[in-house]
Amino acid sequence: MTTARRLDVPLDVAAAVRSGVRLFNRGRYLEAQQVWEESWREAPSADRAFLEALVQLAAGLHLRTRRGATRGAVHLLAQAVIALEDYRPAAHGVDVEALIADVDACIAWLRTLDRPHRFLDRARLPRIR
Amino acid sequence: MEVTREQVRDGLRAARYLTTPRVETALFLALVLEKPLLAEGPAGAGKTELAKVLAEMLRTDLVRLQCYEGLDEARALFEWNYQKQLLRIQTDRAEGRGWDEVSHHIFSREFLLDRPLLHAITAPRQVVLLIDEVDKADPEFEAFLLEVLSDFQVSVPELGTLRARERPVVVLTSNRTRELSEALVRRCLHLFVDFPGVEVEAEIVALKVPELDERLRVQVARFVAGLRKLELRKAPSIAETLDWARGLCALGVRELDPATVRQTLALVVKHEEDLRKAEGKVSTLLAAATRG
Repeated sequence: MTTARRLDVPLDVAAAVRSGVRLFNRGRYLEAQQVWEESWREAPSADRAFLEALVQLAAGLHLRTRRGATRGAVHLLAQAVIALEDYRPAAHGVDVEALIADVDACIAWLRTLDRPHRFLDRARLPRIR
Repeated sequence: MEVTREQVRDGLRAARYLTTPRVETALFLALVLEKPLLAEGPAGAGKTELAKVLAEMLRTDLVRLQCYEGLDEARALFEWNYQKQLLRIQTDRAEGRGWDEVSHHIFSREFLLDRPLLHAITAPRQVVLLIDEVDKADPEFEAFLLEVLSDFQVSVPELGTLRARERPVVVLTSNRTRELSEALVRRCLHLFVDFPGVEVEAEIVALKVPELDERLRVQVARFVAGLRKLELRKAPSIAETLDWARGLCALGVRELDPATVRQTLALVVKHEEDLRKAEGKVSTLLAAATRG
């Protein structure tokens, strides 16, 4: 794994969100999850649920894309959407409205099939804007 | 179940349950994914009400299992109706029937006492099953519950397996008096239900006690929000806010002042110790509640 920065240096929340988003949008879910988790530990309480939602999102997509798990992924994505509701319309530069819509669509897609589908999945993976 | 977010939102509104988008979304996802919803949060924040409203929304029955320490399968699932079996045996003996015939008789569905879980499983149509205050039940019971929730079937040795025709919609509530097992939490969609903010609580008062003056309604909501920050043994529930609002109406109160608050405070704060603590803070809380 190649991460540009050492994980033990605390970042402010907005910076951590941004740096996780870059990894996330490249499909590096596990690394994104680690960055957000690290930030979650130090974050002020108002931001914790937001970071937790991002962690769940990354964990869910990691499960799906690397392990082909559907049920576990859907569960994590659903928990993420519930937590994201409190952060509409936007938080720390993330378009939460759009993200919720994308994750909703991804959940709906995953529910229609019960096995991994690498190529069809790809077009439906949420991106963070 | 095919429902939309809009249907859930409209349904909650029609059932006059005011809440946040987070709660709406959690309900929506629990219905769509057919997962039990585990609602955690302080007592009196509207968790049980959520299940009631859900039943109303789905136009179905609510089956409630109230948990407590020592709750066991016999109380939660089923029990043989011993008295009725005994009567049957006596009658059969008087009529000269043999044991084989009798035993066949007395272990039939007719002699089974349905407890909430069996009732929910064997209901002719989908019901809402509320498993209330699951944190009060013993951890062993939780393991048993997990089994029921995973396949909604129950085997009764004498009768065979009873399977749910339609899986119930399940809501579990917990006041967090202890941590629930990891396995149970993982099976459920988790939702934290906190007390509403001042604005929503004022709206709830408006909805349920419309005769209370608008200005007073906001003052009541603010005052209660202040009380909840005092770390009382038992924070005021939404129901207690409503009791207070009704009390103030009955007394024809127009404005919250220290004397009125002291007279009526027992409607919102029930513990002796809490009451003393709150009485000491009346003027501070009142100043915050009546500003602007």
